[in-house]
Amino acid sequence: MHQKLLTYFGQTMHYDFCPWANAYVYWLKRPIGWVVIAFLASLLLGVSLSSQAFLVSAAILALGVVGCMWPWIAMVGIRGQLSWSHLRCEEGECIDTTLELVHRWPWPGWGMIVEADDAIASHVDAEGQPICLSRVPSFSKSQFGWVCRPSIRGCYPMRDVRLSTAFPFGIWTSHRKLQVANPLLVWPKTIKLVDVPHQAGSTNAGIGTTSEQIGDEGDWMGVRPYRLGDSLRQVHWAQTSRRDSLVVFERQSRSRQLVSIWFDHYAAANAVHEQREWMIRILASLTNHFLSHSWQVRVHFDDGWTPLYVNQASKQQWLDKLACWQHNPSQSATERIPSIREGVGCCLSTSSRAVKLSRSISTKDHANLFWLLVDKIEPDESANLFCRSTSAIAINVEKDPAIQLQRQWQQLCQRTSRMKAACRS
Amino acid sequence: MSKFIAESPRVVRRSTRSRLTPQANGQVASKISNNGYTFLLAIVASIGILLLRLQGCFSTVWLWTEFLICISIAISTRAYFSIHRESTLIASNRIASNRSGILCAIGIILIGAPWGISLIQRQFLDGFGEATELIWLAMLQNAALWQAAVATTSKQEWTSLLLSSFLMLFGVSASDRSGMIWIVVLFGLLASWSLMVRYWQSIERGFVAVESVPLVRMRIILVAILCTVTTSIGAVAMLNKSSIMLLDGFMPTSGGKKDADPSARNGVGDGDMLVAAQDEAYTFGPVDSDLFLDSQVPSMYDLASDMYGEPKSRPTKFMRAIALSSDTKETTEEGSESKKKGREFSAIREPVDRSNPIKPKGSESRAILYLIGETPQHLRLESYDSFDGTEWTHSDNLKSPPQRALPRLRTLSNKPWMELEQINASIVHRVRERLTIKLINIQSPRILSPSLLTDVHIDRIDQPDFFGWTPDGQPMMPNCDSIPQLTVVHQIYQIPQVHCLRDASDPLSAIVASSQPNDWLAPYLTVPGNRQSLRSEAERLMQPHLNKSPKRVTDWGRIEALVTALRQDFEVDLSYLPPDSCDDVVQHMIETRRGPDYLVATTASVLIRSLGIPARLVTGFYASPSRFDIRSGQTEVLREDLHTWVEVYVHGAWLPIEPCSQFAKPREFRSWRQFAIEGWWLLYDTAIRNPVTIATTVFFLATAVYVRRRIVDAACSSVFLSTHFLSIRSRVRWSLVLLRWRMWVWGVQRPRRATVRQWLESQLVCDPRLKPSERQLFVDAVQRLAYAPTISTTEWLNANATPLGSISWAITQRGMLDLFRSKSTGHQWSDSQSQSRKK
Repeated sequence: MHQKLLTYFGQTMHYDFCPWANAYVYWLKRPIGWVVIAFLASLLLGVSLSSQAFLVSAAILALGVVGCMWPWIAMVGIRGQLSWSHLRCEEGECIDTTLELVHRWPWPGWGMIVEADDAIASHVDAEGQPICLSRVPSFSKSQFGWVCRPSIRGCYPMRDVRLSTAFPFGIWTSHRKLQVANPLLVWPKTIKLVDVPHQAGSTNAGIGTTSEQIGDEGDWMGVRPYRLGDSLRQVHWAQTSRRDSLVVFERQSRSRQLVSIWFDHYAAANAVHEQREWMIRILASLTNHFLSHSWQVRVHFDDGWTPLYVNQASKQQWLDKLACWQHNPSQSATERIPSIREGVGCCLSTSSRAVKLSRSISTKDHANLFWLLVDKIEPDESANLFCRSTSAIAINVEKDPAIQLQRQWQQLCQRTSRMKAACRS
Repeated sequence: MSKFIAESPRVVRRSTRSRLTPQANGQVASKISNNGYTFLLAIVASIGILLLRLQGCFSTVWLWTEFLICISIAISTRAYFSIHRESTLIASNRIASNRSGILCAIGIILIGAPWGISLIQRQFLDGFGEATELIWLAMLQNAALWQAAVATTSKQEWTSLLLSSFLMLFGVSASDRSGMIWIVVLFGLLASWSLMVRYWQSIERGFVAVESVPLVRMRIILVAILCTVTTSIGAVAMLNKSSIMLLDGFMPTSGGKKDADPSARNGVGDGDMLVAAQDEAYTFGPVDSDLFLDSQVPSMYDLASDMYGEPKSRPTKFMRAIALSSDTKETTEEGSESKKKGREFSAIREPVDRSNPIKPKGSESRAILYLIGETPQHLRLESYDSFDGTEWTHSDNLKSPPQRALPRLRTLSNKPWMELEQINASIVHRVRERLTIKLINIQSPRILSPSLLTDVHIDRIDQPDFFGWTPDGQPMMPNCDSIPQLTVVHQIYQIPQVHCLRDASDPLSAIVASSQPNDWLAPYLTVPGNRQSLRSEAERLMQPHLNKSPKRVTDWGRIEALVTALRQDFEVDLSYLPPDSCDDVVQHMIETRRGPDYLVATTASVLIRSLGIPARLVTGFYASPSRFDIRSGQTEVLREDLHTWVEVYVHGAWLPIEPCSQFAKPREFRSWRQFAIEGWWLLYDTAIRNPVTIATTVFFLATAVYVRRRIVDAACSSVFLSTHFLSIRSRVRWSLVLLRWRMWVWGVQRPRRATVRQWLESQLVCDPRLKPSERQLFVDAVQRLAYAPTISTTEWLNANATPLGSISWAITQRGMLDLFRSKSTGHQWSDSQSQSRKK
């Protein structure tokens, strides 16, 4: 009973009876507001009641002045620069952060706080707790170090890095902007996958990634008469002059497989933050995985198809792009999956969106299309049905998505392999 | 990465914390924020309210009882809550609910207690009780106490703090008790400290390690300069006891000063716009003189009689006489007392009963006068030139000094000032000082003044003929019988700068030669009795105190030596009087070396005259610094401050000297250069005169410096011995502190990159007396003291108390430090370790 009464009392006391006034009295929530109010009240009492109250007002004024001036003076004599041991890292990776401060006052600075994004301004062992400096020695060049573990991709710092202090009384905070030696690019976390999907129905896929087929790349396989459409670069001039007719080279076929990954921007724009981040992580994992198997990868991301190459520079550029990518909330819903006739197609979307998208695609244009569906909530019935199809992977971000992806990816690859074997038989 | 983790003890500490509360760790950490200061502040506010309530209560016993009960309940609640707080937060809902119910019940009892007690009180006191608003205040006070006692969140603490602040503010406004001011000061200090602690607690969990390189190696110099300046300022302030004067003019005053503000309400005023000083003697406002027409204030003569005793009647001497003729008219009328030139000052007086201090008539104040200005101050009122062995008198044929002129009017700060005298600039400091005197209980036309008075100002008196000189050279107001009571006299004076008189090479150092040609000085050189014997007596007295070599001794040096002799060898005793039969008090004083101040001054004056230097006896008042009142900024001068001293005529000015050891020497200006020169010569003379002492001192100092480290070792060992009766925790802690300190003295410091464990292990490994297990035990103990939870550490330490005690003693023993002599020992770690780290 008394618990109810207490709850009722608490609710009554916390009820906002005049929300319109909050904007005007918000400063009262800060300690400096209290100091001002106390000063005015004591002044009023001194004028109207007793001169002894002037003593109190003088003391409060002194407190206020010291409390405001000390932080300000402390910040005037300090300069600093923030830097990291590496320029790039992955989400969840530990990185050494160093703050160099030059303090030019003859007295030490106490109780300072580094204000920056939580991802970089908190220690790995105490996430959420800001980095604080107990004492900056006088007349010194000091180096403060901590290990941070950014959990969200991005180009850090995303906002101004500031050093602040409210020492000694905490009633007023003074700031000083810190220099940043080089921004820190935090790539999306990538998940290690095993195996690659087999392309059902493709000859190349049936015999593996052979290079003994006639194609346009690789070593010479032989010569043949010129056919309309052959490139002049393929002409074998020696044989042509000997036979008095155009003879062209025959080369090996392309040994690498092609994968086209389509990223559903509309789904990403309408997804919750965590869901969207996991879409990006899965995209990064897929591209990393295919590139590590020397596949030729092209990604439909942001503005058309982006080809990725099997070299470090291309990979780095791509991950940088992913690190800095910001979703566009006004993304159009009319975007459709383009035709992917060659190689494997991967579509990264959500379940509900995938159901709609699947209606607008043709089997001819999307023969080898796989779906990677990232959801936060359980999909509805139709979507659920779709997710259980052989060519789809459905990942719920709330249930250890990395493990889900690894497991389901492996299952997908096995399924495609079995299908391929069935086709061959 | 590991570098910073290894160096951050906070991180280690955090990890141990997190182990303690597995499930509710975050919840407890966020909720437990009560640091005790809020509760302390609530108690202080309660004491303030109690003071307020005590002013208007009918029964002090009831009030005290109620207060003590409420405080006891609050403290018990807090103690109970502190014990069960953590368990309450993580306990099941039912237990938590029960406990919160108990706490709510206690709160209701506590808050309602003043009202209930008031009801009971009214039953017992026939309907009388406390005022309703005070009861409400008491209830609010208890609410603040209860809130502080059971606060679990920051918001609750803030609420309690707000209530306490309101109570304090209201209390100080409504109460006029002086104790309330101290309560407010205490509250303010605690509140400030509480804010600091709160801020520090909010950030301390995020502290990271630091490595710093000094930009400028001036820290020690700066600290030294800072200490020197602070000490100097403090010393000056303490010596003068007038540091409060530094704030003079900081707040607006209601008048009497340059920074007076007409709209000032109270201020620290002491001036023009106050009401006439009828009730408060030490207000410096203008007064109506007709109030004091019937005044019975004493004259200087009465004061001297009260203070020193009545002059003894000398036996009438009969001589042969010739009768006058019958037509000779007998004159019986005497002149007005105040118009007299001055009476004699007898050196032979009756004893005085000093058990009952005499209170002046006509005033509530015991003060003779009030003074605003520098103290100590010798305020001259009258001087005597002729001495016959027992009595000082004014000579009939006393001439004025040739340079004396009539007062001249001049305007300073829009006030009429009378310029009285121009003093020889070579022996006075050019900066003039100001003094204000308010006469309370003295009747005399003479103006009390310092010796080197130059200007005088009395409000609205702009006629020079209002001022004049007495024959003995004292400024006076010739047109009145006495200066009206409560008149405020402003004066400008100079202080002596006699350094040139000490320098034998300076032409001004010859005082005897300069005073010979002046006829008007002849009375001031006359001595009773044999001049030669007095001179030899003076030489004998001053000889031990002549610090300088004979060639460098000047006339002023002789005077100072004589004064030093009198101050050191003569005892001032007001009750020790010469016998009635004594005809030569100087000789009596030289023999007994004991007597009242006027006899010491008489002796000094006569002996100085015997050296050929003009001197005179001066009576007046001594404004003592001990009577300075900080609040009013004034110094009270009482009847007991009547004093006699000596003035010496030097190059056109009478300079005061003080031969009595009980009184401070008159002020003298010295520049820094003069201080340095005098210090140097003093050192030189002391060294020449005491070569053995100086050599011995230097030898011991040098030895002490040479063996300073061993001295420190011995001191540390002694300190550790004194910790024998402390707990093992304290002993280990002390041994570590002493070890670090001794290492610092030896020049071996812990490298910044080294943890305590690494450093200790690297250092203690050198000690062959410690076994590896003992070494490890000590390091473990230190590590636990630094980082482990208190309870488990205490248990562990108690379990290993015996070996740890002996290890700590071994580490703190003196011989151990031989191992640390090499400075490189401390750096070996840092080099090798940092290399291994790099690898």
